[in-house]
Amino acid sequence: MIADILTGALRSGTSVMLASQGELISERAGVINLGTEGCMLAGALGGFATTVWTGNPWLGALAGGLCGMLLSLIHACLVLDRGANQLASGLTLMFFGIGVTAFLGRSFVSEQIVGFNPAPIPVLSDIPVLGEVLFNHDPLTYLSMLLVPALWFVLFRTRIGIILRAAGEREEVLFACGVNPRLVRYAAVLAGGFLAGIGGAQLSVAYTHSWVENMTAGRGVVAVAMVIFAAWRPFRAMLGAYLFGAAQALQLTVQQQGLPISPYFLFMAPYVLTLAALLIVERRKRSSVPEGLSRVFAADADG
Amino acid sequence: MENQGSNGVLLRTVGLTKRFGSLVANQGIDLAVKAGTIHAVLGENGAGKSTLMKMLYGVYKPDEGEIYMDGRPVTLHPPSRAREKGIGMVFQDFRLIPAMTALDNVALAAGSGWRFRRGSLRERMLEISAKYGLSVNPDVPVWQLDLGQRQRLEIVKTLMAPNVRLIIFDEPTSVLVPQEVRAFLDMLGLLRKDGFGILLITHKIDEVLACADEVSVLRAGRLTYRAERDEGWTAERLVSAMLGERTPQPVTKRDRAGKRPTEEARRSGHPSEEVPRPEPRFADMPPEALSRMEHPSEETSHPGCPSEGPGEVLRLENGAIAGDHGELVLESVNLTLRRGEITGVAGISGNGQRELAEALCGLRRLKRGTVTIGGKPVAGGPREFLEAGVACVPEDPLRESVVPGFTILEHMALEGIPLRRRRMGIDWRHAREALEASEEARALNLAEAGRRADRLSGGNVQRMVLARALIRRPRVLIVSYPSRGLDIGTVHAIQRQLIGLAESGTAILLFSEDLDELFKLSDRLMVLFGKRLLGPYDPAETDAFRIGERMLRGETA
Repeated sequence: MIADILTGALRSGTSVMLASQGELISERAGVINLGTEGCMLAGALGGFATTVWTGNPWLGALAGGLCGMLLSLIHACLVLDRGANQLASGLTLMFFGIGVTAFLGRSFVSEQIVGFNPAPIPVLSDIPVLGEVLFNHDPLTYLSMLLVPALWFVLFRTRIGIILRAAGEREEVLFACGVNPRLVRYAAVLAGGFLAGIGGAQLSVAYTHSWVENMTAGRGVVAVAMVIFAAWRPFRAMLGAYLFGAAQALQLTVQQQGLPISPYFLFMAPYVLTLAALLIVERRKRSSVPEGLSRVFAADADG
Repeated sequence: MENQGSNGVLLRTVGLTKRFGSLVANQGIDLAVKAGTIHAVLGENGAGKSTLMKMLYGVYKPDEGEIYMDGRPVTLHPPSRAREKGIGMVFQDFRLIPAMTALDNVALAAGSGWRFRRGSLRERMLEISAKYGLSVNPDVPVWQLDLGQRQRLEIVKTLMAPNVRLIIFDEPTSVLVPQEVRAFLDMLGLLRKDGFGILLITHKIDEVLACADEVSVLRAGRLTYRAERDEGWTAERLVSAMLGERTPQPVTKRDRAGKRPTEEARRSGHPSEEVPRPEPRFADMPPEALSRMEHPSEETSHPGCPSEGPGEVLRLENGAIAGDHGELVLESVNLTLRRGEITGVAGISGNGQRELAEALCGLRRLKRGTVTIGGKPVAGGPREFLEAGVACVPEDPLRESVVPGFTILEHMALEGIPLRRRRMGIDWRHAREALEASEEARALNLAEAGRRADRLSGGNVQRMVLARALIRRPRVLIVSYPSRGLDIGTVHAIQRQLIGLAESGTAILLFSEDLDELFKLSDRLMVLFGKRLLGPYDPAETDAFRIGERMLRGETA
């Protein structure tokens, strides 16, 4: 049963994890995108539809990413060009995503796809317990596991990462270095939307093989919370996402065992757990919050 | 004048002019900087020094005039182009990112391409550090560095740019302690020897006298004086070029020990006229204060038997204060502030000045110990301290006391001038009149009340924050670096205001990095060193050298 829950943690946590890594990029550059939920839904529908049309889940994942990116483009334009409030724009985008995907996705509700299927890695998947938990997943999940160290490397070991973080800390410093912080933020928001879209596609194309209206059910919001919970660190965000996945898996297991607990209560459990995690996390590291997150860059900075 | 950059002229400007709306910030500036020389640009706050430098660094585009480098006309806007041409700038408010390490900050500015080679970058950084005596640990996050270290890092960063030839320093010594200034000027000498052209923006005449090869004086946006070292220049000539007809009256230290303000002076809000007092200095001081001065290292108060001396307003007993990241910054701090006395605190920056000031303003909770104000213990937040009569002027008023978008008047209304009601709201006209009538505002030459505070220069913000604290006529004033980065005229005005406030009965705790200022104003001196508050010392019985030694080595010195 423990192995089941752990396997399920990865399986249902991957979509949140992808979205949280994307949001992490965006927030490190100083833009908080509450529209992540909408981007995930756009990705889920776009990915699913493309897979239905082409039969190729890889194309589906790519299309999902692009759909997420498209939606985040709206956020980027509003926030970075028009100076709109980040929170207002993000929230609105979330509800826009929910509505527009419900509308466009009506005809896909009954569609069937093959999608991604678990591809056990030879030899490694034969390791007892560990093999089942770690090495018996769909290709998208494997890729997402590689993404985390890659993102860490880019953020902390390359100049691109330094520029990205500088954009989120003090844009005037970056400006003085001859880099346009707005472009950096644009790129970061789009990258964030792309990853959220792929996360959504993972949900529809790899995990459930179906499209249901509002199928992300708040995962995008949880992903945003995870980034804060993780103090803007990729590995911690991954851990948080898997924790959320584990709670999902636990809920499913409990339901399957037929324990007399209300299903509504169980649906609530992952979110309660996320709240608890946020509560427990110490607020000691004041300096870990990117300074620029609450500020919006004025284009005519004289720095 | 010269043809094609002969005489080693790196950069020349002809008729440079910059306007902001109707304000002419720079008018027809002609300037020439030669390689291997230090060219000082001297001027008061608001004289247009910063505007000129920002044009040379490409931040602003000049409205009129030309800039030549090596004899060829160039455009320097935006800064990336200025940097390409070999211009580097060391900003007053450093262009550093606190959350990142020193090495990351260098990589951001000096690197190119998307991968950076930590090893080689670090090597180059250490090499430059060693060559010019600019020691900085590359792996420490910038927020852990003190101001002097940050400046050294900023200079290293500038020097690591690929083809830098001309370096602009914007008020570089304003963040340094006296001991660091010497080293800084030596470093400038090394840069000059290596052929860099140096533009030194400053308002300190002794620095110009100490190191500059050439000086240009700015007043109200125009060049009023230009001279080379060989031509012979005098401090008096520079002062009059800087200030015009106005000549500053120096503030003199006066003997206020034991002096009690009259009730009349307090009520009317005017400091009583100064009369020289012939009595010996400690005549009416309580005996226990005397003994404290004779044995400064002894513990002065014992827990359990609080002895309240006369005139005692604020007492901090056995205080321990934690820093931003939970680390212990100060321990066993004992401090007594008395009515009408200025207590000066010296110390190298980053030795707990900010933490102590914040603790005494209620912004930072004590880890241990008690604060008593007027005999009553105060343990709450800033509200309680405010109500007990404490006013604060923080270290970095621009960051901590300015609400972006608010006007000066609105800042005054937040905390300062008493407000009157008018129907449902505030009687703004009355508030404005009260502000304009206030003597403090006039004495400090406060900017116009309707101006947005976040658009003011650093000096004007400092004036505003001080005026606000003074208008309240507080019982206790905690003031940090009141003259940092200000010109002589303003410094004197501020110092006179502080003395006046003390004479009207306020107990003042003054943090400063300027030992002259501390000696001039303080009735008692204390030194922050190694988590301790040393002293008090009597300024009449010690000297700047001994205080400097304590700042560097503590009581063992």
